[in-house]
Amino acid sequence: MDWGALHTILGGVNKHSTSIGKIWLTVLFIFRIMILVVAAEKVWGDEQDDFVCNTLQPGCRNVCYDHFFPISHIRLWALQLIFVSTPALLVAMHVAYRRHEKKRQFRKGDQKCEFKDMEEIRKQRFRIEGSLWWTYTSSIFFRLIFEAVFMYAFYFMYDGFRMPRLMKCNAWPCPNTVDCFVSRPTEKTVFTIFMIAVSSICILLNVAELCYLLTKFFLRRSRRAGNSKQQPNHENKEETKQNEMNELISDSCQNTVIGFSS
Amino acid sequence: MDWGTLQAVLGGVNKHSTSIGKIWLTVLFIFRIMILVVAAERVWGDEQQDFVCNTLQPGCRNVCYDHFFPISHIRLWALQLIFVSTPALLVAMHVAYTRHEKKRRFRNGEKIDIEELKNEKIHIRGPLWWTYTSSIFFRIVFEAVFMYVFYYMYDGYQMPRLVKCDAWPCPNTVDCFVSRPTEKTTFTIFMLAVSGICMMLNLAELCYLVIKICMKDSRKTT
Repeated sequence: MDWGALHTILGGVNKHSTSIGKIWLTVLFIFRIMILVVAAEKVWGDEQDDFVCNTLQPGCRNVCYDHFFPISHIRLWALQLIFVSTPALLVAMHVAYRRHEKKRQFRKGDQKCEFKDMEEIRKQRFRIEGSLWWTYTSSIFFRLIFEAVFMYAFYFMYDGFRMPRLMKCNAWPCPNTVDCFVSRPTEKTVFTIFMIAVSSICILLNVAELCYLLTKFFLRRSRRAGNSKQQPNHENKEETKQNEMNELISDSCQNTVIGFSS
Repeated sequence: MDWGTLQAVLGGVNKHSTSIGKIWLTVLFIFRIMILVVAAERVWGDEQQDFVCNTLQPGCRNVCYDHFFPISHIRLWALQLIFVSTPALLVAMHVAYTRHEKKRRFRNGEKIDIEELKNEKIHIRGPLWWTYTSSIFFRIVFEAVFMYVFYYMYDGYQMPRLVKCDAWPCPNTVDCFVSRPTEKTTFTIFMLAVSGICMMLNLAELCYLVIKICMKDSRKTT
């Protein structure tokens, strides 16, 4: 169970996301997880081995390292990425539940069920409305919260995003004050700032997606309210069908333009 | 045979689980196995190398490390995850046995569609209910046993920075310093919390199954 398995699990969620959601997922995998695995882990690989203190006192280096690095950047990023990816699974579970219900209806031979066979049910793409809208929106909200919390935790724990070259340590058993030198401070600062920047881009994408969903919801509501005031029922059905067709066309246009495969 | 293979094996069990069972499986894979593999194993990677004792006496460091860490946290967690996943295989075996019986009846000439048989979702009733419920019971027992073993072996869940060692051949009492104690304490508490969540999910699933069978029985009698 590693990042590849997470990629497989989240790939399935991609099919039911908005276009912004698909962009977010790509940024997450390529600019965060992949950078973490191929680059950042090697930069931080020798962080304790090459943390050198100017003392012969045994144990002083261990204690100083532990004092200045309570949780390593790499582990914090791994936790952040796992927590940020997980809300998408709520959406996957909701979609799986809906599909299960439709399969049950189909098996019972319900005439309301519009699908001809199980294959169609499996391949169906659910639109983000009704209860799925609420699940999807809450998953984006939780993603935002987790991103913000972890960025704050980084800032709080390391007093900013810069890695200093020298740290002065006076924890027991170090005699008086001891100078300790961090391994690869510049490279670490560069990667920290890169990961923070990509994290902010992901936050902006999530905020944009949230606004898009809210706008879509209010537009749909006002259209329905407008229709029900102006026209009687039989014309209403045709109007709503035409509106849905228009939405479907505009949705599929968006998808073809971005061109993501699920 | 590694964690990926275990995932493949347990994925099949997922189909015959309740919804709570599916949530439990997801929590197990993402918040326990994945955290163990991508994060915790690196934190404990240098635990013996960077275990430093304030002495020049050869062998003292080895002896002290062995005295304070009889079984490493990582190995205990790996054992815990394997033991906790295994009862689900009882359910898989029972389902496979039921299917095998149906296929045998089909071959003996009874009219059953073999394709439907392969894709059929078997409901948790009758003897399967007992197998499923005992598997959850065993899961809860294993989780509790391992949580207690951790507590007993390491005197709580906090990793100390300094341990005082006087095992032979160390001269008198020697100060030994543990590597990354704060990070280890953080991950120990995290794994403990997720273990607690998994136990609660198992208890909830057990209650759900018991209530379901009681309601079914009362419906039959009325």
